[in-house]
Amino acid sequence: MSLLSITDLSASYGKIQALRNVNLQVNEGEFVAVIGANGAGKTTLLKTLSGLMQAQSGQVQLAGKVLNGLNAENRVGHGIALVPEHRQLFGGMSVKENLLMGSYSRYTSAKKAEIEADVERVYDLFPILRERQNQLAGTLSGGQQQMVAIGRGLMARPRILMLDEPSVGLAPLIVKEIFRVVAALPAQGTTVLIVEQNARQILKLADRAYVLENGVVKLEGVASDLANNPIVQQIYLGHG
Amino acid sequence: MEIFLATLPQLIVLGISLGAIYALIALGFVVIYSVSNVINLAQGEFLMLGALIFVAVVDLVAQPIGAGLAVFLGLLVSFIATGAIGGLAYTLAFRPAIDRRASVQTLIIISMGVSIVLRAFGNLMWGVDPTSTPAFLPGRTLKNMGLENVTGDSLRLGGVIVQTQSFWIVIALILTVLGLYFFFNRTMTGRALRACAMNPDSARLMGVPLSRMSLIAFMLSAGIAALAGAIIAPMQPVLYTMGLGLGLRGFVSAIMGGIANPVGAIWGGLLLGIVEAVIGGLPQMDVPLLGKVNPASLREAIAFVILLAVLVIRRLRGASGLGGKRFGL
Repeated sequence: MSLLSITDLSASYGKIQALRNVNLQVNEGEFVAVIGANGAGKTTLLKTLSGLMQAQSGQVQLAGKVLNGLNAENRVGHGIALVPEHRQLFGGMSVKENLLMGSYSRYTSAKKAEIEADVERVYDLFPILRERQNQLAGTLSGGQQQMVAIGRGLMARPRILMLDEPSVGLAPLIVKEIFRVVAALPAQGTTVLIVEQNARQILKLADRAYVLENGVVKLEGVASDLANNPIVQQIYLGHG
Repeated sequence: MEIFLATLPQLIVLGISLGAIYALIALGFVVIYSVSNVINLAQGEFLMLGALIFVAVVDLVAQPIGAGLAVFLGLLVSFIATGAIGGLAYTLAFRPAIDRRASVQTLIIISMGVSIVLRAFGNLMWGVDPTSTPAFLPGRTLKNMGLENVTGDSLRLGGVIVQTQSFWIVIALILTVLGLYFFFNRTMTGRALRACAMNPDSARLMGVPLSRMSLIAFMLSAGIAALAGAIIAPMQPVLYTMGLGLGLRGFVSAIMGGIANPVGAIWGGLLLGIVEAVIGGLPQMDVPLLGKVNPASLREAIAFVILLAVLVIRRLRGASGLGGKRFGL
């Protein structure tokens, strides 16, 4: 069943058209990737889905509910969370406080124990964060910051977690570790929509993928098929 | 000069109690600016309303319920009522402009408008005659408790005379700082306010409604200013114009600390209070070209001079104040 359904979505920055009639489906329990070059509209797509940007036209539905017109602060409560580009942590807060902020949309004092248990779950995913829980997030390494950003996104208990280029600027080993955790999320009940420039690695992990070019969906299909597609190989995987 | 040196400890004590008031006002500037980017020049007017409401409540209930309880009730009513007025000011005057992405300058002009309206409101409600209220801890109570070194409402400690009200001012500052520390670090709403100050877009992604956070910031800041007003009500004439000078000093203190830095604002307030008190106590001097100058008459100008100096230094350093850490309470 389709969890996230995007129909004819267009978005622009003033006169610059960033997305043109994008159609995209993400099914419950899937790991879907969107690849594309710089400026292809990947970040705009996630910003529009999260509500940070309003769509020009088209429709976004989450589990049958239309999200258009809802602000970012209201969307997260409906089960859609974004791990934004460049992490965007609260640098002056500790790791644990960042994680607690992630639970803001569902926080009530009655749920304190449940939320503490979720913090522990994040520490189980990224054990280094348990050691660093009282450290200011702004003083962590890039990889650890990305782990906090993903953990913070999970703290909202979203039905779908969207990640915007989590691999940017990180060492290959750290990227591998982060991708391993993210790829395991669908099996644990969190659907994943990830945007990446790192096409080679993400196409190995994802179930399905979309190729975005100049704001338009150029190709879509099963990830392993796309990895073997000559056009994708030439442009995104750097094969002859 | 010898007399001046002899009175120096006295002047510093006076400066600390003045400075604690400036620090309380400055904290209001910091909280509002950090969360909503508004430099709210109506902070002094919140203080004025807080003082007038406090005096009105104490006048009304001191007879039936006793002076001690009246002070407590006065503080509570003043905090809540002024907080509500702060919330109303945000909703009616600031929010419509913020929703339309008004510039920082526009918001400053709006805050000037709000302060004119609030001053007029104070004038209409309470008239032009200054009122006052007894010290929270009157000298005669202390005398009845058996203390010898009491003159009027002041206490002689060593060579220094301290007004009993000064203790309340310092206690109010300490309690407010502890309360804010707890609120900002231990409650979800407080954390959300800090999150808005650090990264508004990320805060929205967590589900934090920015305009409600701004509303809370305005109510909280107005409430803190009201407490400052209530605490100094026994020490100076209470009337609708009292907010102007105090608001300016709170603003200068906040700027000295870096406008978004609460710890800096507290130090800024204490420093400004001490500098004012000490310069005010300097003996008359002969200045070339100007002749005899009485430094006490320059007291009013000190805040302005410091403001200009800080702004010039800020320009030269390209920094956002003399302090550094943004919202590091």
